[in-house]
Amino acid sequence: MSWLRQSAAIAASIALLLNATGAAAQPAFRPANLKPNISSAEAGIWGASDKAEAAIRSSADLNRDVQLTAYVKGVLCRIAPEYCSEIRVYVLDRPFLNAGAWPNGAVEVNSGLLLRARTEDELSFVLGHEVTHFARNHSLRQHENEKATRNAMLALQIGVTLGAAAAMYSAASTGSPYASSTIDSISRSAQSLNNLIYLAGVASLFAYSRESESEADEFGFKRYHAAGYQAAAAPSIWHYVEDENAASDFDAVRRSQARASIYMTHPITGQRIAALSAMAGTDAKKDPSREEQLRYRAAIRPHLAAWLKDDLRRRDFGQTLFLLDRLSEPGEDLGVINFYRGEAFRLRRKDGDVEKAVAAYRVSVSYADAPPASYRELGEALRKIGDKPSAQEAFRTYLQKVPDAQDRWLIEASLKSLETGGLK
Amino acid sequence: MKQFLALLACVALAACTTTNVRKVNQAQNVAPITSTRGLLVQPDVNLYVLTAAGMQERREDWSRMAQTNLAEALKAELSSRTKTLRVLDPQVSMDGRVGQLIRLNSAVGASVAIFEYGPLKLPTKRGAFDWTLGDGAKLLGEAQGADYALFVSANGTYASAGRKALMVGAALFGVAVPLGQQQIFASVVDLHTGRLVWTNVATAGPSADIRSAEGARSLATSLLKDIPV
Amino acid sequence: MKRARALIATLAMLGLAGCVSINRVPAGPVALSKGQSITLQSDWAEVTPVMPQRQNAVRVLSIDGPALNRLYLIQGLPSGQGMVKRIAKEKPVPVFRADLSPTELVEFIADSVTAVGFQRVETSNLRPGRFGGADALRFDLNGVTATGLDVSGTAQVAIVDQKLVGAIFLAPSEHYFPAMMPEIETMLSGQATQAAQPAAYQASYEERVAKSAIPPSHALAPPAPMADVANSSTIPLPTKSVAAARQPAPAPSQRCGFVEQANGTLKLVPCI
Repeated sequence: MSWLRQSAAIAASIALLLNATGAAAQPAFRPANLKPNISSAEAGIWGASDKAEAAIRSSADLNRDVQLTAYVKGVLCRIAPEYCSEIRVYVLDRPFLNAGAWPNGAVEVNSGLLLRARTEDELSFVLGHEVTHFARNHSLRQHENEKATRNAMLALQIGVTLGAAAAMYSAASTGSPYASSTIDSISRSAQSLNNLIYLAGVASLFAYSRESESEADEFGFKRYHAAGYQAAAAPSIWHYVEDENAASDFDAVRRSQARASIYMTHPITGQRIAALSAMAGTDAKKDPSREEQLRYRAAIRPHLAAWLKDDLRRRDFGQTLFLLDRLSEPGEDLGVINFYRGEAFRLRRKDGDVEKAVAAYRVSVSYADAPPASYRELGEALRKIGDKPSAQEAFRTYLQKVPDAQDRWLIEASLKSLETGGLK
Repeated sequence: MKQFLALLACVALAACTTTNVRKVNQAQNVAPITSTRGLLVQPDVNLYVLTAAGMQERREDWSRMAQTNLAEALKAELSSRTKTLRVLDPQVSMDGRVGQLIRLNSAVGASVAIFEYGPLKLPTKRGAFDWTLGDGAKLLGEAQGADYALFVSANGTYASAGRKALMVGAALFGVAVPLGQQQIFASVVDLHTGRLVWTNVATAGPSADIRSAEGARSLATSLLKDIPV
Repeated sequence: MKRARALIATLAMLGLAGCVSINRVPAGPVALSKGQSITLQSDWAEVTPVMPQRQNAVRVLSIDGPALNRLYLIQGLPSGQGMVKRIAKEKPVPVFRADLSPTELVEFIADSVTAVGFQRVETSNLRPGRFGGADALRFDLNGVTATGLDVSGTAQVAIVDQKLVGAIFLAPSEHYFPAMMPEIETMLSGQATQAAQPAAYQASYEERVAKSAIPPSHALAPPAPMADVANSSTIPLPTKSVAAARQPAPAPSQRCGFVEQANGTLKLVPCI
C-alpha cells in the first residue's frame, strides 16, 4: 500500500509544521490596493468575499442613508488612511454590536454598534480593531491554520482506523451543502470556511483566535490613538459590552463570556480590557464630555427610533433597558428614549410592568420629540390599569396630533367604549 | 472490487453526463418561442475543490474560468439558434423591477428544484409543468430586446489529487468515496408571457470539465440539446 | 438560495424517510374554530409538514410552493404560544396573549412574519373585518426576503374564546400576490368582491422598489482583476518555518498611513 506509506509521511511532516508554526515570524501590515494571485487559495476567499459583498448590496438589511454611510467611512479613513480608497462601507440595520472587514475591502458596520457607541472615539476604536483584522490578514491566517489542522487530523486518522476514516469521507462528501455538519461533528475545528460558499460566511470568517483578537485590540488602539481619539474609549466600550451582557434576561447569555456579537468572535475577557486600560494609562478613567456625546448623537439621531425598535425585536428586555439608560446619559432625545422604555415594559409584561410603562410614556410625552404613538400607548397602558379618564385624555391628544392616523377608527372605538364603561 | 471497477469505468468513459429535462407539455398549448432574440443571464458558477478531508474550498480561479468558458459555450450554442443574443450580468442589475424579476427567478428556480426534481410533489401541480415569472418579464424583454431568457447556475466540486488517491485505496476495501460532482440548473423563460418553458438539471461526469473550454462546450451542448429555441 | 438549500435538505431527508407527503386541500370551507371558517376558492396543497419550527394550531397552505405563495391558517392558537415554536430559551419568539389590544395584535402578526424570515415588515390599511359572527381585524402587510425580494401580504385575525384565529397570505409582490388577490379577498370577506384597487397596489409596489435602489455612494468598483499574475502578490501570511525570511516591507516612500516603527509605535505618514 504505497498510499499508506505516503500518508504516514504526510502525517509526520504536518506534525512538524504544526509544531513549528508557533514560532512564526510576524507579517507586516498588508500593502494598500492588494490583489491576490488568482490561483492561490486566498483568491478563493477573495472571490467568495466578492459574492458576500454582492449579497450585502442586494440584501434587505442595507441602510441606504448616504450621509450616515459617508460619516462612518470618514471615521474609517481617519484611522486607516492607507486603505481609505479601497474600502467600501456598508451600514447594516442589525441590532447587534459588530463590524467586520472582508478580505476584499468590504466593511460591514452594524446598526447595533452605531447605537451603542457613546462617542465617535468608541466607534473608531471598534472600527480600528476590525481594520486590524483586515490589515493583518487574520481571516486568511485562520483559514490556513484550519487547513493544516484538518490535514493533520486526517493523516492521523488514516493511520489509526481505516474504517472510521472511510466512514467520515462517505458521510461527509456528496459535494452537497449540508455535508459540512457531518465533518464538523467529527472534527473539533471551528466552523469551516464552507460557510462562505453559502454566504453565511460571517461566522467562520470572523472566528478569530484569541491571539488575533489581542493583536486587533493592540493595533486598533494604536491606530485610533494616533489619529487623535480619546484613549479611554477603548476599555470603555468593551466594558459596556460586558455590562450589557450581564444585564441580559437570559441565563445562557449571562453565563457566556461577553462577546462582541452573535458571530462568535472571541470573548471579551477581563484580560483584554485590562490590557487596553494599561495602554490608555492615566487617561483610562476619563469619561466622555457631554459635548462629545451630543456631537456623535447628531450623526445617528435620524435612525435612533428605528434602531431601538429593531433592538426590541430581540426580546432581551434586560439588555434593551440597560442600553436605554446609557442613551439617556447626555439628556437629549428623551421623548424617543422614554417611548421605547415604555415599549420595553409593555412587551416584557412582568408584574408591575404596566405601571412602569405608564410612567415611561408619561415622561416621554413631556418632551417635544415624543413620537405621537407615545400618546396612544399611554392611553392603552392607562386603560389597562383602569384609569379611564386619563386614558381618554391620552387618546384624544393622540387623535389631535395625528389627524390622519390609520388606526383612527380603532382609537375612536376605544374612546367610545371607555365612555360607555364597556370592558373594551 | 465491483464498485472499484465501476468507478474506474466511469472515469474512463468519455461521456458520463446525465441530464434531466422538465418542460411544458406540447399538449398544454403554449405557443413556441419565436426564436429570434435571446438574453443570456450571466451564469452563476461556484466551483470548489474537495480535499481529502472532505473540506470544500472555493477556488476563485476555477469559478471564474468556468464562468467565462460556460458563458462562451452557451453563447456559441445559442448563437446558432437565435438571431441576436444579449448577455446580462445580474450583479449589476439588482435594482428596480428587473432586480425583482431576477430574485423572483431564483425563488421560482428553487421551487422547481424542490418540487419538480425533488422527492416531494405539489398536488396542485400534478401533471402540468406550470411555472411563471408573470407579466413583469415583458419589462426585461423590452429593456434587453429579447424574446426569451436563459438563466444558468452551476455548482461543482472537484476531487483533489489526495482525494482521488484516497478513493482508489478505499474502493479496494469496498468503501465508495464520492469524487464530487458538478450540477448545472438551466431554465428558459418566455419573456412575452413570463412562463418557464423548459428547465434542465445536468449532472456532469468527471470528464465534462467546465473549467476547460472543451468541457464547457460539451456540457453546454448536452445541457441545451433540446432547448425549445 | 441559501434558505432554499436548507429547505431542500430538510425535504430530501423527510422524503427519503418516506414519512412526509404533501396532501391536497380541496376547495371548500375550512374551519378555523367553532364558529369561524374560510372558504378556499380552489385546491391548495398542505405544506405544513415541511415548514420549520411547526406549531400546533398553525397550518400552511400553498399552490406554487412556500417561496411563491403562503397561506397561514391559525386555528385557535392559545395564550402563551407563538406562530412558530421556540427552539432555544435565549431565542424567544413573539407570543400571543388573549388580552392583547388590537394594535398589539397587529404587532404580534407583524413580528411573527418577521420571525418566519421576512424583514422590514410593515402593516397598513387597518380596517374592521368579520369572521362568521366575530369582529376581526383586517390589514395589509409588506416586507422583503433576506435577498431583497419584495413581498406583499394581507391578514385577517380575531380573538375567539381567548384563542387566536385567522388567516395570513404572503406572496412576492411581483406577479404572485396580485395573481391571488381576487381569491384571497373573496375568502376573507366571505363574498365575491373585486380585488382591492390593483392599480394602487402596483403603484405602491413600484414606488417601494424604486426607493430601494442603491445610492451612487455605494457604487462598486469593478471586481479586482486577478488574472494578471505579474502585477499581483500573495497576501502575506505567517511563514510556517522558522528559517523563512520575513516578508520584505514595501519601500517607505510609497507608503502612507500608519507605519509601524521599530519601537512598536505607529507613525502617521499623511496620504497626499
